[in-house]
Amino acid sequence: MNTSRQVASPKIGNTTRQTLEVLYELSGSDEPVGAAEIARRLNIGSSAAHRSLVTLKAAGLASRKEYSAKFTVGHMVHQLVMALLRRYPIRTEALPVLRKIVIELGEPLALYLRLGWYCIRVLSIESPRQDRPHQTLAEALPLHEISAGQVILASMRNQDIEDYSQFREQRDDSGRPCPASMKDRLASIAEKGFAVSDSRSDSHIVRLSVPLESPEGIVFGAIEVACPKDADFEEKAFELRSMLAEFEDLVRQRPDLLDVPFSFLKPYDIVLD
Amino acid sequence: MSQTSPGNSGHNDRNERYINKSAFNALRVLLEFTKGTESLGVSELAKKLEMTKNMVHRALENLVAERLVIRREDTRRYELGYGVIRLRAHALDEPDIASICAPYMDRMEAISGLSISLQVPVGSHQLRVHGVDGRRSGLTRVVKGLPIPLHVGSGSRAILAFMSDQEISNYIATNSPLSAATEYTITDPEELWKDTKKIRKEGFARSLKDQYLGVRGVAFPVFSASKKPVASVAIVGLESMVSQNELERLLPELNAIVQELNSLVAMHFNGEDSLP
Repeated sequence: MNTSRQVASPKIGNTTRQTLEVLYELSGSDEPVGAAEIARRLNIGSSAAHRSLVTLKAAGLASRKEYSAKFTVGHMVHQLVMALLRRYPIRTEALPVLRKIVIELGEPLALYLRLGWYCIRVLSIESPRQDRPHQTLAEALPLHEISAGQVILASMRNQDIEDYSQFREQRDDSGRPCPASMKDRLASIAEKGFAVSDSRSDSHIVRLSVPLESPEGIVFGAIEVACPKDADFEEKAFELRSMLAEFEDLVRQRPDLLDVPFSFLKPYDIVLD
Repeated sequence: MSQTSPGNSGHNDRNERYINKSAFNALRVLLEFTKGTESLGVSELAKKLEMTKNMVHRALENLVAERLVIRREDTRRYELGYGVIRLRAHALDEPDIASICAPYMDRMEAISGLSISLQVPVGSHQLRVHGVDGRRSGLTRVVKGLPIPLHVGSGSRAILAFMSDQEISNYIATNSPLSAATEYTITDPEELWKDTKKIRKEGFARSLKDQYLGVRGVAFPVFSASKKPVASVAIVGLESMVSQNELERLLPELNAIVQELNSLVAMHFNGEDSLP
């Protein structure tokens, strides 16, 4: 997915902000990018783009391809993202328990946690069967877009769903379905206790998610597994939920694992798309 | 740390004159949040980075505006912000230990013809997460996902031996009496300590019939950058098909591959994180 903004933004005055814009552009590009292309996308001069790239490279945030004038993100970007993910203790503590589920199911699994009106993929475990696409870490998606977010959304009060809907209307210019048109669907998800959405990278599979609840009954995240399109989803969800007993025990014994960063912010303060 | 290389990027001096100093300072401030401290204050950052408070403050203003850094009103300190999520890129896939080790395990099978397995520690056990069936090992398929106690078999002991003495003592205390998979399994704590010292000295663990009767093997530890054992790679075959002498002859070549693998794993795992 190319997340680069195709419409040129106005010239950016502050050199630090401009360098950060170049970094965003670089991280959203599928392919290595040169200074001229960055300059065109951001509507800045080529020499300004070049200076930003050289500055990012000196910091380890950009990397220049050998024998090429093109750049990709550098290793320090990985360090930054990992530093953020380290702030989610549940990620590492739940790993052995979730790994067992992956081995048992033979399918990859992802752990999503709620962050404002988004869900963020904080853990992605590949299956020993390596024929399923691996999912990128730290991806944040609007709640209604994937099954993991839908099970979180379905657990909310009507007023919260309305607030979310308004938030999306302000953000969305793409005509993507908003939860206002999904109320029936959300009610059905709440009743069934699982949601299914198409995989964006493999047409033969779907992503099935079940909600994760705190001991107080608040849904804080979701577990998502890949499964074949023709699977019996109800049976699969039942199987997954029964495998999560050990995970639920862990959360009951270690309520500190549910301490998440940014919980002091209001949902609409967090904008990620 | 040199003022011009926060990410140890080894950048070309020729390009230094193109570096934008204020942007570079802001990036240095940002990267300070990757070093394990959850929150930082202005004075602290200024001292660490040898910058004036004013420079740090200006850098933080830009970083806060982009939500790359967040200021907590209650503590008035700064933390890494959720804006970092915008930096997600395809290149940021967290490497899976099995994917990293798989090509090296294939090479080990190619030179030995034996079965190769990858184990990761999970509490007081290890779990096999990947395996390559040896073309002449005489063994059936490598079974994944079976929990094996950390004192049983070379794949386990290669992990256990490189844990701290305290961790090993705790393991023995918690799991005593140590269970036996065969009559050859080490179950005497004293013997286990002796074996641990030998493994630490040689850099690998040997096994003969202590997990499965009739099976011989060696296993090498796989380390994170902080030298924490995060996995082990075991090379095994039927005793009747691979002699001890043959295994000894293979050791230098296998060890060379493991060293290569360890350099790669250390690049990906710094030891603070568990493996995915």
